[in-house]
Amino acid sequence: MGVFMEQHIIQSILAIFEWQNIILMFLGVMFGIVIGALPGMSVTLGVTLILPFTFGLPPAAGILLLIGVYCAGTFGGSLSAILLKTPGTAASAATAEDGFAMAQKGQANKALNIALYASVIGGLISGVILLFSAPQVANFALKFSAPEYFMLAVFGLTTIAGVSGSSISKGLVMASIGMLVATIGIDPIAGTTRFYFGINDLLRGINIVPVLIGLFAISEILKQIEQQTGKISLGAGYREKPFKIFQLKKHMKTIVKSSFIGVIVGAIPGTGGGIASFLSYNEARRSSKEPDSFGKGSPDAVAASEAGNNGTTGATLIPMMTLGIPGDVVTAVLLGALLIQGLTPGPQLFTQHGDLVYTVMIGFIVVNIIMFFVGKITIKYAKNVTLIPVVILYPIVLALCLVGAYSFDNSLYSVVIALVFGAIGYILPKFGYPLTPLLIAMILGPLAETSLRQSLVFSDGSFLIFVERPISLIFLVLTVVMICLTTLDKRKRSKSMSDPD
Amino acid sequence: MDECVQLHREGKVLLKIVKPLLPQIALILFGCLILIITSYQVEITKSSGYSPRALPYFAGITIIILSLFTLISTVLKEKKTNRSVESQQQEIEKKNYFRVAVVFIFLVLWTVLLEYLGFLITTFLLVISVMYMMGVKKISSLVITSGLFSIVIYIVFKMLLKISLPEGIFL
Repeated sequence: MGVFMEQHIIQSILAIFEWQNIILMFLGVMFGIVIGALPGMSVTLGVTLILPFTFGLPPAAGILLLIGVYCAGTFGGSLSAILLKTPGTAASAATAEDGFAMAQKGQANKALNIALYASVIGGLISGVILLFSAPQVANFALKFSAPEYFMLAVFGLTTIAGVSGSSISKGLVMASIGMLVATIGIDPIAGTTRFYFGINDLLRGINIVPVLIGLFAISEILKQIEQQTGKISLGAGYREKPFKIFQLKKHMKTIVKSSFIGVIVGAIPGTGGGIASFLSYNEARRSSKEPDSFGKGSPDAVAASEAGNNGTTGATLIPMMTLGIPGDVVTAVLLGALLIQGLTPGPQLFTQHGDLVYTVMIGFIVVNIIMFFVGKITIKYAKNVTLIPVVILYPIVLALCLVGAYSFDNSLYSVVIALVFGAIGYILPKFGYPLTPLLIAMILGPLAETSLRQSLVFSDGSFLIFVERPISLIFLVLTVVMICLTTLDKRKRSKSMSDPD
Repeated sequence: MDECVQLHREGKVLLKIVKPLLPQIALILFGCLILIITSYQVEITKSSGYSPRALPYFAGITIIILSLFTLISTVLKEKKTNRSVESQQQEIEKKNYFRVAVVFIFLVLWTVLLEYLGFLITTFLLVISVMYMMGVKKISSLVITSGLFSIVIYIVFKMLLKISLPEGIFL
């Protein structure tokens, strides 16, 4: 494997530095920062919007573009968090309090710079860990066959509890709907049709891309249109005060620690940047010499939260690329992008398309370096970024969603799917039904079903096959542990919620 | 007359109780529908031991059971707390829902008209109408924004990405 790896690394470095790829990474980073910075626009929306643009690109180029948006969008959220106290993304919510307090003290420039350095360092650490651990995980996963995949998919499905919000039962209902959606079309094993209704288009099944566009982009804009409050307010003005790199030294410990917290959180499917930034924030406050300054404009708090959320970015790619399990919506989009290119994420991706995998992983590191330079420039003009009026933005984003769905396979069928899921994504959350479980089940459902049926063919219908094989047994145990942990956690939380009443 | 008012009031109270339960009721019906449709729409083959119907049945039953669970727990909660609804707030919400509905209809219209009018015209009209719905009344900014956007996207997709968009009958 060693010689192989070096060969791949050299090839992929050559691929990354082709001028088209460099330009695409720059574009991705710029787009990501802008989308992340706009209040109400999330990283998820950013990657979903840019996804259609990757259809016509070579696989590596498309993925690099998306990764640019992903990393930069996660950082971009901090801009509006600091300047407007409206976090552009959930992951920057922890930044908002202290960052905005710093801005009001006239330290906006310092806060923005710390956010940038912390984000870049977090991203780089995450990227390096991705590069060195993903091949090991993939190598291990090569031993998997149907029973292991089934238990793995079941384990992945337990993450639904984590992304279900307040009600696990509502999350599971959405997951069931997701599985049903995935069954539409031709049965993968028996070859018969399911839920075909005589509509030929449905035979192709429901593809994940228009679903993503509907659930997470169209519905989001509809929600924003409903809540429209007019113009986005102006941020606090700040004078240019040059930021010196030695000012960062004090915060290095926090940044590195938070980055690692981010990496660990990110590697677990079903978590994400929001959780990581709050965990890092809490840890930084716990170990801080002046914990009282947190919440009142502590630079350490900004550093912790931003390093934490960008620390997840690379790590979330580990389960996605090596096992084909998306931990959140952004990685689901990346997974969708790979599938469109005819590449199935999983250990085979590493053996069959080694150069592409390394291009993505090394490109991830390069993207973070590009983000540093683009971010440096953006900080100067950050105030203008957040001033794009929503009345122009939302109509354009909606039109982009439709065009994106259409260009996916050049048919109105995909547009109709996007619209249907746009309506679902707008209506169901109003009643407390979360969307992410639907998406995760839609991806993992078919994997679970197919591998279950294959396993039962191996074992002549005996379910013991899942206990007899060591790796699948381990996943079974992990699944049980995960379910116990989440139910305990929910109990604790609902208790602490009801206590103050 | 009094009875009428009484009835009306009772109806309102009933509606208040039923309203939060509607999604659950709808989902239970949906689950039942899935079970029925599955037996018609999903064929069984004899060759494989595990039927293609198993997963749809499983999902349908899960939806029914869990929605029932949510339904019952909502009823129990509703009994404890009687929320009062502010009519003024509802008024504003209604207006906004109307706007969302109209915007959604525009999206549907785009889909219907796309292949007749072509990408440029439909997208131009879509962006203008959504902007108008959001309160932009100045014709110049409507036309310029919408026109520029449609043309830029057309060029990016067609020339750079080599993805063809429908041209319709006019172009």
